[in-house]
Amino acid sequence: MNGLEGVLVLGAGVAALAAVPFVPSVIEMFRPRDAGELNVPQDYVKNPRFFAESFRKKIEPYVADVIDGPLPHVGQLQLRKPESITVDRRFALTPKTGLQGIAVSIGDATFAADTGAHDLWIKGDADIGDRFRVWSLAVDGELTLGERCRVTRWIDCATSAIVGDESTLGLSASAAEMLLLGNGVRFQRLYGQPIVVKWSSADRLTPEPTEALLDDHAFTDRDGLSFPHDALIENDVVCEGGLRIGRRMVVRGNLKAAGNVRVLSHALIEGNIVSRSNVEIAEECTVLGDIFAEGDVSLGRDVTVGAYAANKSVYSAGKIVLGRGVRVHGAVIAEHGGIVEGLSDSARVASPEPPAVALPPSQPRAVAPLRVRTLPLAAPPPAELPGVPPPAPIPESSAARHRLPGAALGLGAVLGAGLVLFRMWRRRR
Amino acid sequence: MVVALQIYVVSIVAVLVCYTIRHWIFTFRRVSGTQRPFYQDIFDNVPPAVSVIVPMHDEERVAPRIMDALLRCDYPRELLEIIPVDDHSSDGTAAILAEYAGRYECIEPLFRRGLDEPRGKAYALNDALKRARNDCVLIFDADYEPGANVLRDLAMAFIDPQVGAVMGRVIPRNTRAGFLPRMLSLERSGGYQVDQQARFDLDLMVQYGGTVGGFRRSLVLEMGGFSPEILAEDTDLTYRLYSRGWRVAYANRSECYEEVPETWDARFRQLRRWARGHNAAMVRNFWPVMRSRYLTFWQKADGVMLLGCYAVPPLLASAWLANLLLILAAAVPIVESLIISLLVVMYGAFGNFAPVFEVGAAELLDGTSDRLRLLPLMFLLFLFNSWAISMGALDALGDVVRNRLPIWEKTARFATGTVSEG
Repeated sequence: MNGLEGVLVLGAGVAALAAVPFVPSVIEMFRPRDAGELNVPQDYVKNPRFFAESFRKKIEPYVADVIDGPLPHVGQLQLRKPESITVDRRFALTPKTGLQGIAVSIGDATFAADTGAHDLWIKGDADIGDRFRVWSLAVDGELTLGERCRVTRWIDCATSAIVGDESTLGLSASAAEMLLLGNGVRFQRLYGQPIVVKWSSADRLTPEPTEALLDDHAFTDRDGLSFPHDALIENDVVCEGGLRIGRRMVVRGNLKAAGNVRVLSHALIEGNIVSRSNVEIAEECTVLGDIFAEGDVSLGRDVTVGAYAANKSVYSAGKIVLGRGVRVHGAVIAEHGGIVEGLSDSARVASPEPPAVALPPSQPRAVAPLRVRTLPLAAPPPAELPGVPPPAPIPESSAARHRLPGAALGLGAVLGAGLVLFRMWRRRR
Repeated sequence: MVVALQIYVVSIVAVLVCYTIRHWIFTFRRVSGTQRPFYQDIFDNVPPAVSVIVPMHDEERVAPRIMDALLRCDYPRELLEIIPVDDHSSDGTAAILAEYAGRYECIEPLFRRGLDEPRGKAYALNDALKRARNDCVLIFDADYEPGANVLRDLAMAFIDPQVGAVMGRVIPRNTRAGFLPRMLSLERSGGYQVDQQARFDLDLMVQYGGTVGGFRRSLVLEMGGFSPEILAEDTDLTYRLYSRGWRVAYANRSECYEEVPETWDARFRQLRRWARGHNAAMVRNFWPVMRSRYLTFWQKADGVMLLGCYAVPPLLASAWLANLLLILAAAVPIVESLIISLLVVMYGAFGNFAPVFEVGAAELLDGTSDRLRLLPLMFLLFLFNSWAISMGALDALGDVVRNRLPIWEKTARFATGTVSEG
């Protein structure tokens, strides 16, 4: 083999190797195995009681077929795999007993302490004792769940439900009417109209703001904002740092902060609260809009979210802590789990209270011009309101730390390498 | 001269390396990072009142489909207003819209036929915005088919007072129509599942895409509406919002079927129009972005790279030309030069235009596998895209030099794609 032949063979080899990745491409092009569009469920709609409604829909035809026959009925139902199913007029379990497979009670059911079931549908009322274990539970009547019960997947109640202390509610707990939670209850998703943490006792104090503040524009600032007590905000506030709302304040707009949002006691927020970090709402505050946090959320004693017939949500990409007497009309969603701390007055809002604002009587309670979003100013804005301390430092959640670590270093390295390459090229010349 | 050419070639390589690094960061973020939550999990039975605008020009083949899809959406009717805009259609579009308006109270079509009403998407949107009653406006192209939850998911973004616009994800419907739609489906996956979502995760510049999305009406009107001089009104709006302190939210789960071009000619015209508009938007928004006090360094860097993405192919072509000149002038060693040229081509083919690793990561995230076999053929798409985009860039240059107003040209519709059962 001479030199030219060698080059040709080498070239052919390289070409053959380079063509290898294209072989499956060409086969897929002419004999496609996956030419369809990505599947997008066109009929999907959000339904907080989806699990239970889907379960009932699957079981209902079978129950309708056997309900007029002799009961109890034991049979097999074909779902994804064959499942045993028991249908009876009522269940009354004694301690240390349980039900296997799918169980349906046409009437009421009573479960003593230390009982269990797998998938349970009670079409009447359910009175369930302590330490009950269940995979999923649907109740058409009223539900009373004892203490330290454990739900693996979901529970749903078509009327109202009471959940005992220290229970764990699995992925979802929903009720068409009130969902009453005991102390120490752990959850992931809650839905009720409303969700109530027992017990609310204190008389609520209605905030009466004395003077209007920031009533014309939305504001934004990088270093955080702290508003005085008893003030009124008429519009949206957008803040690149932390945000503190004073006691008894009224906010007519929406709040957004890249840092922590901290609402001190007895405030009324008529709009939504959005934070890229944590949200802490102190005792006896009312939020009429949604709360959305990329960090954790804590709602202190007697906090109310939403209103009758106006369902709202408390969403946290982290954890949620609910204090005593909390009332949420709608849904509570905690991606990393939530807990009821009903014995505490202030849930997790335990950091020291910022000092009260003491403005001289003659000083008007207005703020220096901040950066108005719709009309950017030439001069940089002050970092905080005059006479108002900055927000107390609260640890940022990991969700708020969006940086590009090492990217600058990498970019510098690449540019440096390019420069070296160029200089070597020049030297060769 | 030779030194200048050498510096130019190395500079272009550096630019391409920067783009590649950017794509790598996005891909790693999506594969290994946590997805930032969107507002879709919020359950709110009183969502914001919305006006849905659907610009249409000769859309009789697809108009009933989108009207039916919008009517199927899970949204309180009393909070929903649908404004299909018949923009000088010469087919049966107007009759179809009139029929729907007679049947459904929430549909209020806008008929643009007057000689004093010039045709074009920007004009149509501006007129519809004046008609709309709600501040929250959602836009769909006529060939789109939103799922039942899309309106609600998109509208919930506006609970955030910093969100000026929102963007959903586009999924090609007519992938069975041939090779090109399948390739475009791959490209879209990379662009949305990885690129857009990573930018949202990292709080960089999410691009509002002009459809399957929306904005605050008051903001757009305050900024003077959409400019007919800019064919890429969506890109222009994105930058105008960001440079004023607003943000664009990205809803990866708000997926909506669309029809992608089935012929190379239709795709070429579409891409050429995008490049023309995007480059015009770049000229208009570069300095406002750089000067904006509301943007961080990384947001500006990403914004500039996003603005410049349609300028890269002509730059690349010019670098090849410069390299060729250097070779002819015997100013560079041929072997090294060819290696560098090859590297430049590889960067361009696999490091830009929804590059291979982004598409691969997107398909993995979407849970598909067999379609990944088509990935090496992205190389062909790169060459085609480079050609179309370079022509669009020349058009944009021509617009500036001749001071002419670009004419909006609608992408051809095929209406062959039907979503398969299940």
